[in-house]
Amino acid sequence: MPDKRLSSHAYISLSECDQAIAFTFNSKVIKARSDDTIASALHAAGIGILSRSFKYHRPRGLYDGYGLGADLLLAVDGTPNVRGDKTRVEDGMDVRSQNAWPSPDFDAMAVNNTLVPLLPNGFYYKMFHRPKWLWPIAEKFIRKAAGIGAIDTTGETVDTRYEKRYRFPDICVIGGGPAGLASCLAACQEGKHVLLVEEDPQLGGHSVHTATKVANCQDDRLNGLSEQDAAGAIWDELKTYKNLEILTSTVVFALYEDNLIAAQSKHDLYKIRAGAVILAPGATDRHLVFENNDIPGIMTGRGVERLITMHGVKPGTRAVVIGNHDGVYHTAMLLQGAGVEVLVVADSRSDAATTEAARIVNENGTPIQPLSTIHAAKGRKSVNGAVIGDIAGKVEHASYRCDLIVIAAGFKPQLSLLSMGRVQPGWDEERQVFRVEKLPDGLYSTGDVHGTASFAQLYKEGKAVGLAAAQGAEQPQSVRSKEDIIVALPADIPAKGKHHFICKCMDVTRAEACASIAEGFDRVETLKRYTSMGMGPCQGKMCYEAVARLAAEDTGLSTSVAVPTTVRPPYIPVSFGVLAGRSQHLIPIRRTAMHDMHQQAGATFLNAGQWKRPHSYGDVQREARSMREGLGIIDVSTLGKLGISGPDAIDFLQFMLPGKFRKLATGKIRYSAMIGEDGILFEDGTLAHVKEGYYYMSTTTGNQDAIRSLFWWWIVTTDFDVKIDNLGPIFAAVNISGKNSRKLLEKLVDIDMSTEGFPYMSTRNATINGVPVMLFRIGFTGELSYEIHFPSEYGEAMWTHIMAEGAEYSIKPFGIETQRILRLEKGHLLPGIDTDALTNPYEAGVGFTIKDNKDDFIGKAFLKNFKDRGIENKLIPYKLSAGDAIPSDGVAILKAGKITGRVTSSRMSPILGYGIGLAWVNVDQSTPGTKIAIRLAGGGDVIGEVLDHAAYDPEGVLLKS
Amino acid sequence: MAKQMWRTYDLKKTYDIVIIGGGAHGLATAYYLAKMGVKNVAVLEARYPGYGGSGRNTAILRSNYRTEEGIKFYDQSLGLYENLSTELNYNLMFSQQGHFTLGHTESSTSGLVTRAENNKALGVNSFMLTPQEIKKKLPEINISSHARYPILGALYHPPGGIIRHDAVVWAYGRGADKGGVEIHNLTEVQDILVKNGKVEGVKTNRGTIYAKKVISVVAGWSSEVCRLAGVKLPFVTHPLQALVTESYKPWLHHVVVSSTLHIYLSQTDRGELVCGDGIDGYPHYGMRSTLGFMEAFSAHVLELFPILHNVKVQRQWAGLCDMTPDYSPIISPIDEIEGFYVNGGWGTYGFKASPASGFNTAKMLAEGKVPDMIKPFSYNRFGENRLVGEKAAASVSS
Repeated sequence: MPDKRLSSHAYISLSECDQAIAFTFNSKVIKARSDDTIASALHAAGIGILSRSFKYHRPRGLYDGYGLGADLLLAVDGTPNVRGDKTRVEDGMDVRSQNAWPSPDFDAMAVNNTLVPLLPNGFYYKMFHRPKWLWPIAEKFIRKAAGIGAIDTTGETVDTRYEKRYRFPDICVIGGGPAGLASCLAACQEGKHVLLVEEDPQLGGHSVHTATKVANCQDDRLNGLSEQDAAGAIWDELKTYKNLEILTSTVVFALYEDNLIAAQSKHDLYKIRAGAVILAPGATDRHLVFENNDIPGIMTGRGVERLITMHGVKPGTRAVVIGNHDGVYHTAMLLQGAGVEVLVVADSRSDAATTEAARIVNENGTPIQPLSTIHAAKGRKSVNGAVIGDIAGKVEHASYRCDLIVIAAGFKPQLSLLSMGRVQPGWDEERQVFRVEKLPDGLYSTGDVHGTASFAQLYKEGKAVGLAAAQGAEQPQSVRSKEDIIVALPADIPAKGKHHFICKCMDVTRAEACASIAEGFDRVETLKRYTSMGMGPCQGKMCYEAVARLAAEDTGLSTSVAVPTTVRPPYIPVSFGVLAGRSQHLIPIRRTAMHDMHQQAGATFLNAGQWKRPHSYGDVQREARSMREGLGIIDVSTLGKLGISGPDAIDFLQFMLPGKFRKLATGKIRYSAMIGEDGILFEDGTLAHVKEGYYYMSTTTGNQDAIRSLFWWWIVTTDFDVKIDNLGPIFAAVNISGKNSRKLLEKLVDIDMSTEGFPYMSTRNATINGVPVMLFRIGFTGELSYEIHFPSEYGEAMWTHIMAEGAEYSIKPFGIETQRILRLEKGHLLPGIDTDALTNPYEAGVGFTIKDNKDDFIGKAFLKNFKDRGIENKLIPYKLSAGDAIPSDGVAILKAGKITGRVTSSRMSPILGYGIGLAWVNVDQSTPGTKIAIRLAGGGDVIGEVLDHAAYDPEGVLLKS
Repeated sequence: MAKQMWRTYDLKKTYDIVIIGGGAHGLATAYYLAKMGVKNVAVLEARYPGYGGSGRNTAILRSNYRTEEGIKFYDQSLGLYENLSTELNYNLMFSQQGHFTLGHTESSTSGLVTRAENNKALGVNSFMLTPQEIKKKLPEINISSHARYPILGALYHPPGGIIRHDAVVWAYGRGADKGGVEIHNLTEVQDILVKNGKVEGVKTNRGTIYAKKVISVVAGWSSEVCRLAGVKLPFVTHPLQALVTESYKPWLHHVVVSSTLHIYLSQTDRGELVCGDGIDGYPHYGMRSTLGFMEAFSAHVLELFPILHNVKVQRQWAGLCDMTPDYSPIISPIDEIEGFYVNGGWGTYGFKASPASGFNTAKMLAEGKVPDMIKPFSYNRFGENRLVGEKAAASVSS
């Protein structure tokens, strides 16, 4: 295989050719330079076909060398769909081709290509659906053939470390080409904190492969330097500014509202919030549509320039160069200097170029064909010829045998990020490009994105825009001279042939687009969806201009009203790993102040909302029994806790809650349901009047954030003068429950603990071991219980102290699962578990908390409606017989084969020795004593008996003792 | 030359029925009207067919809802979908690959059990699977108990799947056109003419037209359109975001949904993973994408499928959802205005309803009386406080 590395170049100096790196491509060892991309190294090694196209499996090779298209999607070290021309080689890399079997050179699926004439446009909608049974079979084959890269299911790369980083510059400049660099300079000189983000490893943009000398620049020291050196000089100057940070090899993939910029640097996600943003993304080679425009061996002007100047690779041996502007001679000159025989320069213009490069090209003996352009490329797997003719595509001028066709048809602004600024680009007839003139406030744009221009002009404009951004001024208008403007060629050179590919990613031809328009898909948006052009891996970055122009043309409109389809983030595909960052989950884990104590005691944990709570400490049934028989303790720190005070506190509570609380004396507690505006029961809790005018409300764990937000929402939207303290995280809490709880409390505190002195549903202040605590005589378990609330920082000390003091009564911790059994024995409902989004509170049995003969309160109107309607369904406690299977939560209740209800909570009661639960049933099944058939998940029924009371201690004697 | 999907017409002065909105529901309504023999019908579309939710959803179909009303309605819809490619002679690529709803908490799993039982009782194929059974069908899923929210079980629904959403719009449009319905694109309704409690017609950017019956079928824009007739709807409009990855060799052959993790994903026949999240937490008409959505989705999907860490997102977008208080739609006459109807409130679950919505809406318009199937979805139910509770089954949009 001939080595295509250049040892020298006639017109420019090349960087050292070290060839120090080795990697494998489909198991073959390839030598590479450290500054190679995978694609440049493969090209140097003479490998022309790197991948196959999506639909027809047509061969794909190096095209723009910039990763805009999807020509070179490869699997690298197990990662699929890596862009070969954007990715630097690394020593030992394992690179594999995708979507081709057995190899990209001989791809069996290329048979699709020969079927092209048989497939109508939109064929996938027109085939395989009749008869009906055919589709599932056809689909299996289609799914086998579909897709580009293979997801690595081995999981070997899963431990990649991803990181999120944050920046808050005054000004963020996106793009380090001449205009971007100049605007950086201006903003830095104004003393602003500036962040420059550049996609490439080096700064300079297209200047790094441009040997043209800078002239007429306002900064005189740059005049006479090559553009390469001028960009280097600015870079050197920028390095002296301490108020500038430069991120290279970092690609901005999205611009969101309020100047939020998202950028990727390898495995890192940068989230940048900038005061002002300067967009200088530049322009890239136009995608020219003509017959066979997708064959390997066709490359863009900048593509070959990059290959030669940055990687020292000779792009081909015999080249035909197609162009329509002076820059094409620079490209031709670089080709000649690299030893490529340039057979012809086909220039669509009538007048010959007068640049230095044009003179050299001419001197080297290359003929220049005016008023000419390409009609067709020849070849199957690679280019072996080119046909040149007139621009109208009617008259052929000449044919050439060549292995390289260079398309230098001008440049299209890289509009992706500008479009994300929510502005629709329009066709600028004068400048012959799609352009966004004015962005919303805080966003600026400069450079080739307004049409290409000379280095001097870009520098001048960049400086002015940088200054404007620093001063918060209007964006200065961009100016382009007549010489700067490149008159666009037809988007499709209309010579004969059926392979004019508009979209190379999805293999969509002009003919297919036209046929689709004839079917009625006559807007660029529907045309795109129907043919899927512009929807492949490049997302239109390569073809947007051609798509928009041709869609306009073929639907009978002029280019001047053409619009590209909306650009959506991300600008380049970004992995889930980068977006997710280090966390595997965004919901934080919340632990109580006593978490470690539970862990030491052998607890297993469950998720209660964001919280980790002890499920149990081993044997649930034993835990439940031991609490009933003696003394238990449970960590209830996760309850929501709100302190409510202020002049209107009681009015606010009267409005928020369905009950009446004006007469709630200090030191007293009341249970309350919480009702939504729709009259639905969505939460419950207790309200304690802890001291004159100060109320302390506890809510359930799962709802604590929602309730807090709800209360705050009502405060800010009404006139209530109320203060709410969110005490949820500030106070830890335990509940001590069981016969011996009073005895333990008497040891712990120094207040009257007698039934009369501290009755059920009342609250007291006390101190335990010097720590101030609030005591609440409430309980969910049905036993004599006390809840102790105290500052969270004493969590472990308090737990340890209580456990030590309780040892003589054999105190045992119990978990949530045990508590659920205990509360079920008492028939207490749990909001969210025994209720749903439509629960009528009267039907749920909490009507006693609703006092609807008071002034307006939340839910009043709908509660009246519920009350008037009467009970239709009911939440009832039930019991099973000893020995019955315990149904799972959620199973159905049936009557005569029809579902009439459902079980919401179902457990085995250790103390009673049979299954108990709560269930929603139709009202005609709710009379105590009714037998209900509960359908087990695995089939078969168990019969429950409806109770009218708690299964355990129905009178509440123990609780109130 | 292939035949045109739909023809273009001049606007007539009068129609029997005017359908505002050329999405899947509007065009399905038009198609079934034509099939029922009602010919003088116009569909007025402000932009192009499928601009709104029909072209922005994630194309998941299923019928395993929770309430009897919901289950029966969506079961009819799924049944119509199953035969739609053949009926409309257009390959809609309905991939009946099976649908998982994962349960990660006791309460959500209990809700899934209730759905399984209700489905079973009404003849819908939907049942619970254990984590090990899930793993058999989805070998790469993470069922570890160390996950932030471990998987406790799943509701599995074999007939659920995905379809090519744009194709549904186009095929209904073509069918309606064939049946004589006029589809008017770029025709924006600017006012709805009401006189003496009766609808008279609509004013558009192309002129005023008269009709005995006018129906709004515009999903996310329902509040705005119905306001033109003076009708206030109990809708709150939220954005809903989605994303799609690059194309990969098909690896995932089921729809996977997790409401605890707020995610759902499936892989199309083209190899792209189509993914979505719950609605954005704020009402908004701007169809804007956010970074927060992509970050949250990514973190959550990696909890389920860690191997996807180097799979790349290619595009993100947003649509609008008109949410009702009970997560069920409105398909109903408006009593106050004779001849004015509303089909809306489709929230995040409208696309899968398109055929049943179109069929029953057409029946309602053609026969002048509300079919039993959609009686529960009346406009008046909110005033009467007779809601259809699909919140548990419809949240997280899938």
